Amino acid sequence: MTAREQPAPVTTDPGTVAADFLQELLEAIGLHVEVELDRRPDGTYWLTAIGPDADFIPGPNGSTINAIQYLVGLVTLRRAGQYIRLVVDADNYRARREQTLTEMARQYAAQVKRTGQECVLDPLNPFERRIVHTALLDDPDVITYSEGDEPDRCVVISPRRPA
Amino acid sequence: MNEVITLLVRALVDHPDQVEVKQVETDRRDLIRLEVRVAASDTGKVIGKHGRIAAALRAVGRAAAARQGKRGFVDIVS
Repeated sequence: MTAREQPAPVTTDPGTVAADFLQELLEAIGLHVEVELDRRPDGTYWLTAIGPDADFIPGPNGSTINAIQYLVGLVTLRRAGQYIRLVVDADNYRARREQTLTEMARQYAAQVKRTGQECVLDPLNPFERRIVHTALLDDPDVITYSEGDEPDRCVVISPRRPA
Repeated sequence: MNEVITLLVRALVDHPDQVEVKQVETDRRDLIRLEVRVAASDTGKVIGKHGRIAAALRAVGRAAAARQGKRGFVDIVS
């Protein structure tokens, strides 16, 4: 078999573009982490930072990880020419956050049922709002919707009144 | 922090060669203050609707400075 030199293929897979940029960015911040790329069945690209410095990435209230996620999405759109749903994760942050948000949603739902008053949550990003909506989807006594404009868009939990 | 903001801003604009990130002297040793300048036509690309991109750049700048034990501030000059 002749070993013919192949030129390196130009990477246009948006997930790889995103992962490469995230790796570069985290190294520039001075973090020792490796970014792993995984494509979930729903089409979302998960970029998970693994390593000794991964717990630095979330930042206060997730402000750092969410800013990084937003910027990596913008850069990927520019470089790969298409919008992808991507999640930046580190140190299991998203799973822990999902648990926190689910518990919070149920507590507020209980309060709404008790008082009959609707409740407006603090602003959340689209991904986190979806966690709250999903947590209360099967609750027969409340409905949820979102109001306001990004980045201050909030979930509202409201009593479901009999028709 | 300078390297981080330069990397991000260059990746966001149409004219990366016109990106200028300069550290400004402050009277506090624990504070890093950066001034970012881009081509006039790129201003929107680093500010974004309702300042959302600028806010994200500031958040990442703060994190990069915190990594060095400092406070970081990013000023977008237009």
